[in-house]
Amino acid sequence: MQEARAAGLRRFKTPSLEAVERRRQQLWSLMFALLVSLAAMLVVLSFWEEALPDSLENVAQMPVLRACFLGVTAAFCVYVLEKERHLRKITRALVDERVLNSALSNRVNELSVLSEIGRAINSVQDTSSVLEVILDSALALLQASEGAIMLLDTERHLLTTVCARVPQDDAAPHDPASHTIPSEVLVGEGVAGLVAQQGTPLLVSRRSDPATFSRMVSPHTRIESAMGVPLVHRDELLGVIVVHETAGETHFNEYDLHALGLFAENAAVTISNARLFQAEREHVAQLQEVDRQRSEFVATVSHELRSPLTSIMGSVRTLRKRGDTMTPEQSGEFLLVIERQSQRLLKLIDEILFASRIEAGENRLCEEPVDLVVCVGEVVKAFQGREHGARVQLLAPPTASVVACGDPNAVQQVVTNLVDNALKYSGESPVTVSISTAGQEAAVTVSDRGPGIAKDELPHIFERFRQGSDGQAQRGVGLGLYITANLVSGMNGRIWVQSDVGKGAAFTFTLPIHREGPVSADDWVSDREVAIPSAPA
Amino acid sequence: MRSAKPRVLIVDDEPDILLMLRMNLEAEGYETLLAGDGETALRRIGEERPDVVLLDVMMPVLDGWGVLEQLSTLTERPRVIVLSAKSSDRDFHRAWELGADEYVTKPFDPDELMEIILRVHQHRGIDQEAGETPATYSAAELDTALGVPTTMSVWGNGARARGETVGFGYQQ
Repeated sequence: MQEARAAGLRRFKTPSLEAVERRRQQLWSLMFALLVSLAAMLVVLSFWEEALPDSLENVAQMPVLRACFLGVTAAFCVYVLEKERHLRKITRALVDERVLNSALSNRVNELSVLSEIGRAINSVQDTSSVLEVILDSALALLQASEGAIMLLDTERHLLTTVCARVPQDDAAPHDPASHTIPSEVLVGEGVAGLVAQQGTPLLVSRRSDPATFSRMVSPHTRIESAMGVPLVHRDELLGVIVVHETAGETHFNEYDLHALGLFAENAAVTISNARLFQAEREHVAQLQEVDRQRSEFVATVSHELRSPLTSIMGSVRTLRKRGDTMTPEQSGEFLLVIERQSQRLLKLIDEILFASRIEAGENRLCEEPVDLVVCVGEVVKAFQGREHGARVQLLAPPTASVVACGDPNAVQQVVTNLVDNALKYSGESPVTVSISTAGQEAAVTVSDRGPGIAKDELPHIFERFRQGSDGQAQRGVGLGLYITANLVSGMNGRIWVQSDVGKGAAFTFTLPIHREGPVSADDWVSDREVAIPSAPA
Repeated sequence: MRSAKPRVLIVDDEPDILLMLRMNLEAEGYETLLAGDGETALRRIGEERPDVVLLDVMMPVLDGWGVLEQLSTLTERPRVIVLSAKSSDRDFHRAWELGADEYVTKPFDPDELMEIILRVHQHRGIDQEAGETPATYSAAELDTALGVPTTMSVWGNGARARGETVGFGYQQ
């Protein structure tokens, strides 16, 4: 069946344009030859009639023969003309078919580019790869080699190039004319800016409208014409696709602009989806991290609750069982253990509650003049009265009073937390507290000579649930510095830490000075400064 | 001849727990040694050869896991009861792999701990009567020699609250 169809197709195969032309040429040359020979015959008959032998003379003079001769010639002429008309018709049809074929193959090319895009886009997931695929496809569609996708930055009101293709000019790689795609364009500026502003496709060409072209495109570039179409999804402008025609490439026309416009409609949907997908993925990763931190926090809290409870429960049991046989000193010691550990539990619960208040944004601090010399001095004195507190020293302040603006209770809590922290990590070495002023700020620094903080821990030290991971004693749930940093930022202050491993750490916090102080260019910023996380609104 | 009451080394970085445990143990007639961190604990084990070690896990300088690792290289080592606020299965398995004899989660009842100490110590005695080289017993050999399962049990509120006795010990 298929063979028969193939044979049929072969039999009625469309002649090629060239073959038809050849037939026409053959036909005309045959006719020319015939007419020439006919003319020759007539000439011979008229001039050499007498010279012919008698026997032939009669024959030559026979009008019937002449008439036949002319008749045959005329018939042949008619045949040739008819054939020629037929062949011309075929030629015209063949030319038409050729034109249609080329248009059709263009459409097929476009469709295959579009289907390729669809495939590529479905297999690619991150935004930057999607943008690359879209740009390459647009260039393939228009058979251009230069173009860019620019996305709209609504805050700064400009377009940012996120993906660009510029063919490298090997002859002059540093030629300024080759820098045809800027990294940023203001909305309303150039082809891309105008497309973004008006939201409609635009085609400017050096050939057809040199004045407009030179206004929009730098005339020194090798661009011959430029097209831009907006990327719009759900009435929201995402950005612009710009394509350049450079010297020697196919000229852009209105049809190309229309094709790019249709293409951009699909591309905008894809870009929007890719963005959503990426945002969703980042969100999930964030949630996972928060979840991990929370479960770690729960484990830490349970551990921190169990330790004091062990002492309390053990002491209570011991007192109940052996209280009768104990000396008053012994039972007093157990009561002290119970009291101390209960306070530790209370402090832990307070910390957790405080942190949740910060998270909920319910932490209110008052702003009033605080004399840091007095306020910090009280805290240091309280520490010195405690066990192991003798190593806390207050360095002499530069002036008798340094009055800052803040909440006295919060200031004392901040200093207490920092000193507590320093004592925890510094073993038997001294902990020093110093007060100073610089510009409009008063600063309090708590330094220790403990093991210091590892460089990779520094950026996270004020985050929630963070603890030193140096194998040292880990007491607490990792909320102390988080609370401290939030208290400081709540009083419009700053806090940072400077530390070298093995040389100790110095925590400094600043508060705005209450009265007008002398302005100096002194700066507290150090090379190891760590920004505190901003307090939740 | 070993005394009936064992010599117990208490290792914990919390002075209040040390105090409470020492009080209880001495009231029962035990001899106690104290250590505030892992390194001190290893030194005292080497010098004073306690029968039983009550070992906290989270400690400065050298933690409980580090102590267990060091102990596993010794030919003759004391019985170790891990006292930890960590109550996850992972921690329990780690202790078991490092050769701990018992795992007690904090907070615990001092009286129960006394019982566990006594039982662990008594087993040490059986161990030494049964074989000359106790350190090289495999679990299966111990099973045969002692006629008891050589799995570890978890004690303390965590396990009891769940109503299970995860098996590690010398329960008859």
